[in-house]
Amino acid sequence: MPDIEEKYVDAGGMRTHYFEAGAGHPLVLLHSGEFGGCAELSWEFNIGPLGEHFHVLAPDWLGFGKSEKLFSFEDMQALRIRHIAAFLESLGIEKAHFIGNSMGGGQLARAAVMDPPAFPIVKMILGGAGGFAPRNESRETLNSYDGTREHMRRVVEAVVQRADLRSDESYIDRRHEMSLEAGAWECTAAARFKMPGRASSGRGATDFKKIKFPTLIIAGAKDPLRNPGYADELHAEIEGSELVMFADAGHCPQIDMPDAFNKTVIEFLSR
Amino acid sequence: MGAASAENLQRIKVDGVELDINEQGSGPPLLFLHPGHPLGRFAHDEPALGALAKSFRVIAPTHPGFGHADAPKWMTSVDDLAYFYLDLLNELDLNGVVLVGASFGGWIAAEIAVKSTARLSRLVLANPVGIKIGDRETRDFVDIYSIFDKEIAELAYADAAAGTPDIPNLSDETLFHMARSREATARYGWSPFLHNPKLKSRLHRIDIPTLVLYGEADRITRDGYCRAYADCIPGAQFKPMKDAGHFPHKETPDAFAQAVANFVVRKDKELVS
Amino acid sequence: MRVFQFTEQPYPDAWDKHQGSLRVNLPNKLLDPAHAADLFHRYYDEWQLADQLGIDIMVNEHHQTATCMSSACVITLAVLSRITKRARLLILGYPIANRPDPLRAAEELATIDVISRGRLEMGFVKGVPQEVPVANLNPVFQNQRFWEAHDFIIKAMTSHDEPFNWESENFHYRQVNIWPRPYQQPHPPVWSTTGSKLTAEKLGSLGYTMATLGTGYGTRPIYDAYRKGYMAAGRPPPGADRFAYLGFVAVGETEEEARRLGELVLAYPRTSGIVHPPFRNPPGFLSVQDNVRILKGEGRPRSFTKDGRVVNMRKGSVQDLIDAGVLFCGTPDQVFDQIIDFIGHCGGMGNLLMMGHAGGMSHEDTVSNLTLFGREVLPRLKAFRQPEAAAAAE
Repeated sequence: MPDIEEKYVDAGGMRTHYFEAGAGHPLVLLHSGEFGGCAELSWEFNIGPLGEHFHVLAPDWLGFGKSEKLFSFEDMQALRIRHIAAFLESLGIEKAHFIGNSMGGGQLARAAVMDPPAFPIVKMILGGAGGFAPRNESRETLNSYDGTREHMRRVVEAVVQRADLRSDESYIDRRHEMSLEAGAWECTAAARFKMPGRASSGRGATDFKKIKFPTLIIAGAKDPLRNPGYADELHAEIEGSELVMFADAGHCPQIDMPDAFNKTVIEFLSR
Repeated sequence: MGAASAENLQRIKVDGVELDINEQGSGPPLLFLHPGHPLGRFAHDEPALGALAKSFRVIAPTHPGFGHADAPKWMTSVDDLAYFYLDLLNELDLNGVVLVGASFGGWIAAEIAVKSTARLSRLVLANPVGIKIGDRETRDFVDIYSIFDKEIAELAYADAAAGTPDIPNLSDETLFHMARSREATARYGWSPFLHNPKLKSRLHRIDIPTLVLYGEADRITRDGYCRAYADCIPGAQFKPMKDAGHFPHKETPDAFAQAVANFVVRKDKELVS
Repeated sequence: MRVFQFTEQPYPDAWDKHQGSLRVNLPNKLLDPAHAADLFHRYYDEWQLADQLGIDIMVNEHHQTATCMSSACVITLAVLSRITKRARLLILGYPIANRPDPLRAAEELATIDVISRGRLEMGFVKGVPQEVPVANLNPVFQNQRFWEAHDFIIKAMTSHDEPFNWESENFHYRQVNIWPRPYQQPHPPVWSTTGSKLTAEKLGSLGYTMATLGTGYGTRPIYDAYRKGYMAAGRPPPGADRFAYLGFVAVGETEEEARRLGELVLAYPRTSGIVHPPFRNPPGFLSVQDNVRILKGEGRPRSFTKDGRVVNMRKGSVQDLIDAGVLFCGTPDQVFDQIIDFIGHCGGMGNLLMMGHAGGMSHEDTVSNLTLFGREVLPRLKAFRQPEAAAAAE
């Protein structure tokens, strides 16, 4: 297992916290956007094993983890993308493979269809990404996080299917603590903060058909935050894409079935 | 159609054992393990290899004893062949290999995969033999050493006429390979007949995506045998192939190559458990 | 000179019911066990007669066939050990390459030798092609298994101190110490059969008695190959007692009677090859070159007459087979002359393996054949002086 280093860099004037491991072709991991989400909690089972084959970089998004707690009410999605592009430039990364989980995948896809693409993508992997969250209890849980440990337990239950983690009190503690970082709650909640009477300011859904990069879609069959079959639709929309369903995984296949995830990713990227 | 010329063919040594290898095409490495008796026609210029060569770097050895290179005295089982081919992968330093085996070659491929998948990315078995599904009195395979060649052709091919070797018009080289194949298959698979009693209990070890292709007109293996074989391999896909019998790579080479290529790039959804 | 009376102990009543195969896959419901019992006892009676007539005895072993009910030669040998008094008991041969347990073979043969008080002649054979699907041992390694089993059996018969260990490729034993050990020392004389000059040379180098079966006037080169191997080991030329020949014998008071018996005894070559063709050529039995020739339809060597005429063993007439040196048939004088002429061709042949019964030949005919041979031909053969031991053809 390679050493995993924890670092900070100034990316375009924005403090960025990230993990780095391994050598070789760069591989950027983009974490999900639940309350308390961060690179460590998204990718702790993957950075080491993937670092045996690639130069892994796992940054915290703006507003998450230990990166700067910034939010743009004009176009946060575009800011996130600019930030990561700056992050890569600050480290001299000219091309990389990318994996995005949930919001991370959504951002990755958006960057991929920009003209020109905003990230120097070689191959991309979407994990639990694309589609939308149906209005159900799980989605409601995620949106209404009140900062209590008890609520965080319910967040974990929505986001993680692995039985051993769901009942692991120290795991819930870690997630809870990360969610209490100064500014973290506000940044995550800000996505839904809008002026009364005004329509949602979304810049439009991403047209996945425009993705031209070799793409692997990994989806959990037990994901309460998506409609069943969403991954099949994504597979059909992205030409030449590959789809692997993980039978026992939910919204975060890299957490629920890390060995299978790592193996599948390594094989896809090594071809 | 990719025609393998003598230039593609080379004789190499792996740990002192002589091996004839045909190499063609470019792309991810694909190791093709050929079938044995009752083939009746063995050739390095298989159309299927040429078709595969469009997407892969195809490496097709002749199993020791089946062609001009003799098997060393100690090489008497499929287990031996499996270790030998793992040595070959080391020798050529291949990684991410797509391992494809047909019939007897499928048996070798399965034995390789249960030992180590470190250098493999995918496994494709076409009408494989190698395990026992039936009970002690039930034949899983026709006793090919007890029936006429004409009958073999009828059982092995969807189009028996096309599959029957046209002996008067075959070259001495082809006849040589036919005779060697008949003997070498017996060398490795006489008894227990065309299977390793231990292999079935080891198939769970295969941890790479696996596809079992099944020429539907196959009457050499018992009805349901190949399906049961696929069920023993975790997550294996099972794909019947039309207009083909025991040797889909021979009868429908393009469909065969396409099925392999689609599987490697996951044209269809895959399920991992 | 010795003469050994041989029959395959056939079940001829099923012979007209074959549909292309008398061997391996002819269903055994065609055998009536009560009739088989009658046949076995009849054959034993005829061998007992041979013993009384001064003729020695040859037994063989085949499996799953209506041509030969002797599927376990040791059974016949055991019976004969008890009911005969003086005859040498030749098993030709014990198919040691087809048996998974050579220790058992060593025990059986040693015991027969003891019960018969040292009359066993021990023939080892590789087994004919149609035995392969029965034994189901890998035919590709037939030759290897044969010599391995041979080495083991000889060692088992000649080791008399503490148990020995044996871990060869095909056979594993940790404590070998057979009881009883053989009567004859160091072991019963070893025989084998062949049609190949290469094997003949090897048998010669070992000094074993070598038999050829129905090789007729093509026998000489095989015997000469034996002589070459025998002398290469530093010995003087081998005597006639090293050589054996299996021929069909039919003796009658008149030539006409003899030919009638000749027709009956020729039932053997006319039927023994009726085997389901896929069983005739197991993989590994013939070389790849020979197999290519067979694929091309090129024929195999046939029998030849003295003047080089090709004779088909299966379809030849009585006269054809006499001319080929495969059948010795006629009045006692004629048969004697034919045999002597044949011995001359061979440069010496001291063991005649006579098939004096075959197929549906009746008990009466068999008794007549044996008796006439025993009284009129055998004494002259025993008095006959073999040619000088020669190195090779003059």
